[in-house]
Amino acid sequence: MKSMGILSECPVGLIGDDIEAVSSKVAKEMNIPIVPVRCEGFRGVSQSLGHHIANDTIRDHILGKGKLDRSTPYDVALIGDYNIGGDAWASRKMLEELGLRVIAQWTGDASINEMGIAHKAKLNLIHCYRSMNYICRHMEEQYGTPWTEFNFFGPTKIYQSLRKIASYFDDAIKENAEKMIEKYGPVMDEVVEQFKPRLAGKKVMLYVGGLRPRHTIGAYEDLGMEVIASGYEFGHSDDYKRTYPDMKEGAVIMDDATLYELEEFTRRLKPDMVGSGIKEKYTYHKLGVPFRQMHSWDYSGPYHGFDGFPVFARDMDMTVNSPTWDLVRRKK
Amino acid sequence: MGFSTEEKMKLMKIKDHNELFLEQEYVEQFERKKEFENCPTAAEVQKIAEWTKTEDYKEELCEEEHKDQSCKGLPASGCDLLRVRL
Repeated sequence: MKSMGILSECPVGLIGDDIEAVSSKVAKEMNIPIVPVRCEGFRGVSQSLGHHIANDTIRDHILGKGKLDRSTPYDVALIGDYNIGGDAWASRKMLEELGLRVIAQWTGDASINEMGIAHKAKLNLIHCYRSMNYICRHMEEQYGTPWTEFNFFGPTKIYQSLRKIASYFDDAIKENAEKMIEKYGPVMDEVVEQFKPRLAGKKVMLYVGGLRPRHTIGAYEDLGMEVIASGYEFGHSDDYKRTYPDMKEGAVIMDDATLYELEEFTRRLKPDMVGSGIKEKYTYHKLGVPFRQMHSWDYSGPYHGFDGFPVFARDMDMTVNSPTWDLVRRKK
Repeated sequence: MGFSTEEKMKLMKIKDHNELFLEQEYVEQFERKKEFENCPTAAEVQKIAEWTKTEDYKEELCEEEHKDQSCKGLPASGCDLLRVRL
């Protein structure tokens, strides 16, 4: 065993258990880091404060304590990728093909050592800005590690991101980015060619968390779909600032919508599909509106990268064009 | 239009994660990642896995569990379940 976490839930917080003292005592006995995470469910107005607390906890207990035998000029850390359906693996594959060395993955398929060495990266690559910008900012201030956002959903954003990431490195990496775009471009074109005729013009409404309300817009647009509404469950103002440029004129942006509001938006905007979470899934089934869980990818995936886009396109096609919806009367 | 989802999957070679991540490229990637994990070797993991099947392990686990006397009188403790399984 390399480490252990003690995560407090609501009763622990209400009782006032001193998990920090227990962690400290047991850590000495067991000679491994025991990480107390004081993040009861009632903290904050949304889950966003939990992200911040988790980032701070990792900063205080784990970061800087890992072991890395050697460094290279191409070391990067993949931050804010939770490996849904293998997303982080698909992203890592691309970064390695680009010529980079991924020394850490946060936190999908991460190990305690990787989380302890991320500050040694030459560049932090952040996918989910909302949940992990805190640790990137800390590493920038404390260790001088620069960070940049990227988006591996859909070919348009992937090409932009590969070039953006490569711009931080030498010509060899820049050349690799172009080679990858040249290599995978025709495959992506084929995916678009196959699925666009079935999806073009379809309207999408999103209500999700983290990065998805804006990061997936480009992937839908690659397939000819239009995101007519997008909303965050726990977005901050900087998320909205990042979202406006990606939305078309007249599109609706929602913040912390209730289910009643979502239903009303759906009735008025009449989307061809809705992407949201498990809480909304069955409501939409009852409404007779094609629905895809966009937190868990409905247990599919990966959706990231060149390996993920064909899966994304297929899943959206299955969602929108499933004959099942013909059997369900859509409520007015 | 004009072709089924299955036909398209075949055409596009769309692989779900359970198939995709068994590809050699990914298997090698997982191996490379271990360099940063500071993880136990495969032999060490195997050694521990074998130990969990032994009488020694069973006794140690039961002894540990009975340190906490508050579990006495409960109908089926983890220890009892383990004993049944072993």
